[in-house]
Amino acid sequence: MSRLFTPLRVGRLTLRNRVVFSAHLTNFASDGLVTGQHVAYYRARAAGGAGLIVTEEHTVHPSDRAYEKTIRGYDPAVLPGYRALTDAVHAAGSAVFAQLNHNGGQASGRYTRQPVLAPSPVPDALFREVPRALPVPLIQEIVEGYASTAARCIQGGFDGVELQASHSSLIRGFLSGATNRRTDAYRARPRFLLEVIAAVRAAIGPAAVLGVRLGGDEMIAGGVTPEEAVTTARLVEATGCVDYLNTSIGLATETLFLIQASMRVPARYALHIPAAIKAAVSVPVVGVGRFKDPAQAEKALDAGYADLIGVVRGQIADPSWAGRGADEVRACLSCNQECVGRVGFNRWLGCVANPSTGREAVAVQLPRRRSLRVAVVGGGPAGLQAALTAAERGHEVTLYERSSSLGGAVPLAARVPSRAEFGELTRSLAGAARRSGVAVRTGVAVDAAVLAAARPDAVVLATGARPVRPPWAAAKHVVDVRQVLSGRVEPSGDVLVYDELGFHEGTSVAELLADRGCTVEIATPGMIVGQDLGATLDLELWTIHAHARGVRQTTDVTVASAADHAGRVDVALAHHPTGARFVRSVDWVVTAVHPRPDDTLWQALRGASFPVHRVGDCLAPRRAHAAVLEGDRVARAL
Amino acid sequence: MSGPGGGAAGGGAAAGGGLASARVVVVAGGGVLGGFPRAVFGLVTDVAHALGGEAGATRAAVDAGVAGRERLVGATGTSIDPDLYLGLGVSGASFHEIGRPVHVLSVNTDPGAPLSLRADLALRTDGAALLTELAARLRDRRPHRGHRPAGGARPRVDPIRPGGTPHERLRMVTGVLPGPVRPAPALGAAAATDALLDFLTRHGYLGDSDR
Repeated sequence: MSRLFTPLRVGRLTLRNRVVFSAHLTNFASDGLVTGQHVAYYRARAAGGAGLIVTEEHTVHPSDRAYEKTIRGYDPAVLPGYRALTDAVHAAGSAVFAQLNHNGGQASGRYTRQPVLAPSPVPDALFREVPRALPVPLIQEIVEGYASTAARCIQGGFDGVELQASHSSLIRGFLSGATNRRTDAYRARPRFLLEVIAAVRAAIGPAAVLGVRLGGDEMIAGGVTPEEAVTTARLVEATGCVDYLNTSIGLATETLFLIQASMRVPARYALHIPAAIKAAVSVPVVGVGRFKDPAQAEKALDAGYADLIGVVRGQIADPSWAGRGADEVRACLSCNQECVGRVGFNRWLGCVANPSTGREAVAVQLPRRRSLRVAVVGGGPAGLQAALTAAERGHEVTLYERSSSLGGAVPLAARVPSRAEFGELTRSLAGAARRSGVAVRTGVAVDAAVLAAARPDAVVLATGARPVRPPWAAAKHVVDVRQVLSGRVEPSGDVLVYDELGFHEGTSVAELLADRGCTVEIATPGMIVGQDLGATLDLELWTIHAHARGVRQTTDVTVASAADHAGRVDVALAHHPTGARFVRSVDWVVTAVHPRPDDTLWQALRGASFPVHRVGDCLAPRRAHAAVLEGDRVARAL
Repeated sequence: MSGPGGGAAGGGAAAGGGLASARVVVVAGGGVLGGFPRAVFGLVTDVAHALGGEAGATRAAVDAGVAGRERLVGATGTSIDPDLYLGLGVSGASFHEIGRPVHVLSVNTDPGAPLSLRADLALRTDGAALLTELAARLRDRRPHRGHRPAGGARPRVDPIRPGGTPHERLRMVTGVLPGPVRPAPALGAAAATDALLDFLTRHGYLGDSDR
């Protein structure tokens, strides 16, 4: 008997199962209001089987606009959007709560052009703005804001509200010793939270559900600890006003990388938080933290660590997560590239593993009546996605891959143990393509003549990219990251990793070699090493790991030459801000530099009698999301 | 690897044929697949049984068809919590949860595999060659009956480890190993087998030779 799919009573509401789509930013709002894309996005997860949806935060007071696309919960203009959203989710069988929040000092004043507000004038480490300490009358006004916004949410059809008291919130600001330095009555840190709970319960009446999301460990000096979180949970339960507790880990600025931990961090990494809280209270507790498939969630419930499981990224990647077997989930990679990373760039949320995420409101073209015979060349992410989408649209698809296994460059990238889950991308895609009826031919190299003889109706080329040997690489021991990852070369001794890409290619190989005992220096023309790892929340843990292993980081340099010298390689580095040159003597140089498109077959097929499309790296070498999106886009247009 | 959720209470006990409750687990990973994959898992099973334990497999090994899905160990498969974990060609990616073993042994040609870096004994050698040698030599031995691993009672860890600095808690949650690493030197199969048998005998996992 599955615990995960056993209904659960929360307050006066019965949820159909224990799968929660917890609150997260989507950037789908327009002018502070709910959009049709919001409706379609949440409806898809409800239709996919989630028991409970908690929407992204709705701000309760005009002094809080932490980012451009904040939903203005304090504004009555939100009501029509609320009704559309809640009607859609209810029709699909899920319950839906609204999360209420004020971000306090964890925000920038750029949007409001006012100082940010916090319990005390303690600047947040990320935003670096000294907040205005809240005067008591303004505190009372904000408490009123929570109450009136909560009432509006219930009026708009929500089954309940959840107070954001964890990683990024004014409530957290009051709860944490790191940010609450008050000397008045609010120096009792839970006071603000308890006032909000009382006001909100009075405003929503006894029938609607009220939950509180507590941070379990801020992991900073003076911040909330697990023991404090348990104490707060007891106080919250003792109010008798709260129906459930949600949990989180980390602080949405200094330790943001723990909240949406990337693939390096073990699955279910935050379970000790709900486990400790659940042991102390009797209301249901939600556990969160990288649940990749229903089997993992089931185990956490069986072990008694939580009563409900919050699955955000898993359901971003696969709206039907709750209804799938472990091997059928279109797995979240925890790569954070198109969800956390893209939202961080103020764009709407997407997903590397799912080209439809964030586009739910866009109508999908129906399959053609007459199915086409489609040949896809190349079994990397672009080719696999093109084949999958084409097959789902009713076409007869054959995919040719010249090597013996599928995945293209993805399995290579996944050879680094801390990047192993990246391999889920093509593993999931290959499984889905096979189940959709794609004929997969591995170990088959096709050329223009073979394709012409097969007389396909359309050809999609996804032939990838080839590594480029830099013009300065005169020495034999200058190799590409791909050669290291494939095991063709095994650098040892002193290694210089030269990284022009600023993403995982260079940093992950530097880590791999340092773990193998090499003395590693990573050098980059950029101003920091791994400049694109920040947006995906990989930079912090990579940096911790690199320091632990003694990896030397050198910035602002280009390579001028690399020549054999006395059995080693002399590498001349040019420091571009000053023009200074210096030489490193190493055993190996490993390059992470831009590859070039492998367009041999494209050139050979010029003038073919059938249409030929290029997708992914053979068009222009980019990251995996571009390959997947392009494969999907081209296949939809066939 | 051993997340706080990787404890013995996990499900899948029936499917894994005693894997969930086994005190000794021998796991085949992607690194021992070369050449004769199906034969490999038979040898892994022989070794596991010779040690009074159960054989498991990583995702890579299951995907390659070496072992059935019911032998999958980790977040998605069977949760284990053995005294002794012996990984053969197991890299130890984060989803391969192994519980909280008293002893971790790792056999891998890659000295930088996370499992080798955290192991009590890391043997840098070819897993398939070692396996053949080990299986042959274990035929003369028997598991130590009712063994108690040296070093006293198994540490039982509270899900919340009270105290500790934010840095210590961060390491606990993320599994980042502090400090520089000293990768193991490369060994031949015979020498690696000697070292492995010596470790198992010294720590009470193997009885004396029958001969």
